[in-house]
Amino acid sequence: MTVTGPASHAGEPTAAQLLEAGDITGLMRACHDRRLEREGIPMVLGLADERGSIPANSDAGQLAEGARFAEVFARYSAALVPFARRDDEGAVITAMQVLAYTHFAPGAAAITDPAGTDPKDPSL
Amino acid sequence: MTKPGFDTQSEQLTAGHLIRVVNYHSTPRVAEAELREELAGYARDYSPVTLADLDLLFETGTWHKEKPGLIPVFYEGYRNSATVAAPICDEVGLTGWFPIATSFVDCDPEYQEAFARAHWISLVEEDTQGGRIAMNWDEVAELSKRHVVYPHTAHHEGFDTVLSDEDIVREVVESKRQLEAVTGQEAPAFVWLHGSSYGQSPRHDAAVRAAGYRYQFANTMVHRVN
Repeated sequence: MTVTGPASHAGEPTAAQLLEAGDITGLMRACHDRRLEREGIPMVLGLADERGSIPANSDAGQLAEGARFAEVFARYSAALVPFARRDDEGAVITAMQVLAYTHFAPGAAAITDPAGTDPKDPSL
Repeated sequence: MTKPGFDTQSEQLTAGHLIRVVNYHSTPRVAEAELREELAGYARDYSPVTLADLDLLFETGTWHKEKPGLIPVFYEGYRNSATVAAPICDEVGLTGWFPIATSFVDCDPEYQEAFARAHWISLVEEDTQGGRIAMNWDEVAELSKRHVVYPHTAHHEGFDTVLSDEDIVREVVESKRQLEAVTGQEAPAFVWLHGSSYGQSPRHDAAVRAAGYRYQFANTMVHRVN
């Protein structure tokens, strides 16, 4: 799967280039360098039902996508915030921001086609 | 109560219980073209998320449209959210979600810059060139016909600064009543300043539930509370 990532600012490497270089810290810097009056901050939010449980997701593609998100979240967390407590919300946000910035901004391929992906592909 | 953390996040992702959002603040006219390009890109790759879509996602656990859902969120109640961002959402076919600090809208335009600076509302150059910075109530009402509007407290406050019963009523309850009176429909969601999660304070959680909100948006998850 190709990750084209968000548009980069002039003279700056794209998210895909940073990812290919394994520069996760560079991705973190890039997503914190968004020009907030022009560019949104992408994020993936989990769902929590405080009244009870949410029924199991019955779509294989969505489950595969979620599993890949979880895998990437673990990888970025290990790279960026290995110091963090398990309940360190700020650290969770930092890792998730990098995931969202890199993997679903405009131009990034949707992660819904597991047949076309290589689970060992670091580009997700 | 579901508290944020690495394990919670990983479990939610693995279960496929997730939704994409993109958070915006002031969207000045000078950057309209870039915003349009970005939102058009999202509209190409993702599906809009209405309130009914989010309800269904919680009811079934499974996203029901072909393309993944994406929620563009325009915070605070800036005038340019109504005059720049919303028309672009209409144009490209996205449903915008607009958390509004209701007292920002209520504030006399003469003092809105000071209100913003006093309440953690960031401003760009265009916001400070005179005139109204926040939406007016007519714009809020118009916005609610095609998009989702809901309180971001009254004064852009975090739960940790809303201490007395009077504070809670003003920031959690009255903000909802005021929006609903203007829009004629339910204000379905709530979000604290800084996106604090449900589960941080039982007293504030109870207030959000008792006010009748369906959802609390937070930094790492969407909580269904009613």
